[in-house]
Amino acid sequence: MPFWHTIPPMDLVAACRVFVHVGERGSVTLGAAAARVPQSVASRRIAALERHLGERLFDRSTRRTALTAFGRDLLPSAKRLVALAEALEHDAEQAKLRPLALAVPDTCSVRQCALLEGAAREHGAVLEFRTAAPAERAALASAREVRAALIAVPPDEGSWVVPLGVATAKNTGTRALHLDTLRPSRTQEARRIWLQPEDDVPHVRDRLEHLGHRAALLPAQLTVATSLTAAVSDVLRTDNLLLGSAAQAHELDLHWRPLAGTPVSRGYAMTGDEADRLKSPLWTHIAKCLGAQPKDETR
Amino acid sequence: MNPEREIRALRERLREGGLAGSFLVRDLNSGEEIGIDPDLAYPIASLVKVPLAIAVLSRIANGELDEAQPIDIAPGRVDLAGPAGLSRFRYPARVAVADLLYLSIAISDNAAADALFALVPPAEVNRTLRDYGLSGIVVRHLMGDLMDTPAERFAPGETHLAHSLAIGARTATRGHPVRQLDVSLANSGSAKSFVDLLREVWAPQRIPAEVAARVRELMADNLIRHRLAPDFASDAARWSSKTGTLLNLRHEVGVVEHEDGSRFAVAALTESRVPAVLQPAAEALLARVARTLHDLLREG
Repeated sequence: MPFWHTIPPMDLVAACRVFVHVGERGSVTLGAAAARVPQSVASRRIAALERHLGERLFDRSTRRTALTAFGRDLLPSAKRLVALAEALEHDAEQAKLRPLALAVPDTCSVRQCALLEGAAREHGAVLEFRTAAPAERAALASAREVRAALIAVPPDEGSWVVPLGVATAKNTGTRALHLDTLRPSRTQEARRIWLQPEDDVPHVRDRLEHLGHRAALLPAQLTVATSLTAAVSDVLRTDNLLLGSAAQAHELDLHWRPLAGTPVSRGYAMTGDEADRLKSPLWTHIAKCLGAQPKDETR
Repeated sequence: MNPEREIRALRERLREGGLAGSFLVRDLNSGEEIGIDPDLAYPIASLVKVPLAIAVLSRIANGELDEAQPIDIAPGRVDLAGPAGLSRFRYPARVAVADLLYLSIAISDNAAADALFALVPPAEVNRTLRDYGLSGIVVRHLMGDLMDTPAERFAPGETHLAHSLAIGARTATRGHPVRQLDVSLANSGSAKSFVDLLREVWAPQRIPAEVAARVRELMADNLIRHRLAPDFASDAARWSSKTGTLLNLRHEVGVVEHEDGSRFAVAALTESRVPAVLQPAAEALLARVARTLHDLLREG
């Protein structure tokens, strides 16, 4: 059995750091201060290193702590070891700070995304947001172009549920809106509900269209907008309505009412390599980004 | 809910559309209601067939009448467009009481209604209504009497002249030189009195449950659906109603039952000042007003 296996475990890098500092300064007191360890610790480490290497590094017979010939020979190598160890630690910090790409819906507000980013840093992750439509987010995640994605799923399968209502420019109270009150008349132009591209998914669009047919609405009364901006522009100029979450309506400075019976909701789940790491610690911040219900109200 | 402004706007739209009327919508679950002149009485035309059905079915329920009893109907031989069913028959027919009820409500068959009035005369219908605590609807004459208005005396192409006579001749006390349009001489009622009646049929307190159920079935089978039905019926909402039309009067009373369990009684009694027989724009407008009142009540 080699000799060095028989001595107590020793931190070679820490010991070399003390050796370098003391060797350069010719004083245990000054070297310990430079290495930011108590003098007793510095002495112990030097002794341990000498045991490890099998020769004395310092000549303790003089008042100054002078390097022995053996110590002088090893000092350059010890310096290289200490520098390399510092480089390794630095690289590790840098690697931890490399952004982690997260695909999010375009319904998330900039402010809430920024808060989510801040919270993620506390958990050692730097986020880089990729806004994308529902189908694109799923594709990004499966192609591993992003390391995590918030994908649209039916609400009962989702970790986050966002109840949808309608937003209008005019304040018409906060009571739930029944779809059937939008049925077209023979004398007036019908009001339209704009669906955002984010809601062009079966569990929202198809379900709402089915309810619309049953409530005798015209097919054109439920239309997917080419963009959120186009839809909001129309809603601001007309009596038309925008399907969305309460949080989104608030951000857009529109008046929001729930739909009676909460017939449609957005559901979100997180997929991707980093999903498990991010999901639990950031649940609340992601919920705020999506405009989802707080946890205790979800199912 | 502050619907005053909307109601003012609706009155204005009615005026622009040449209509005046009595409207009332009531939430049958909460009792909340909203209306326009709901107490204004109008001659009720064929709406009278609903109280008639209640009276006949009450007599069937207590055994005074047999719903299977066959009744001989002489051919009506009416050639005018409008009246449907037995009134247009060319040959004698024999129809059971229950089927007369169906014809009277589903296609507003006047001959069927008068055959029922022969069994339960207007005074009896009135008494039945009072027994059930329903006031405001007065039954004074048979349906046949409605077939003797100025409209029947003009050649087919000149019927609009009868309407011109009917329009604007109403006196300050709501009388009218045309007997059938005089609320003190004709069968009459207001939107409120019909909503009260519908409430009793849909949530019976004094009407026997089986009678109310039969009336609801009959009204659900109503085939005249060009007036309020286009604004109320859908796959998610059942519309049961009865219409009434006479000269410039256009009425409909009914109940919409939504999938979520909410139920609203709707009564729209209107009078037009446009001298034309067919007025699709007026039909659409009065339905829109009724629907808007319904939506105001439903949405708050």
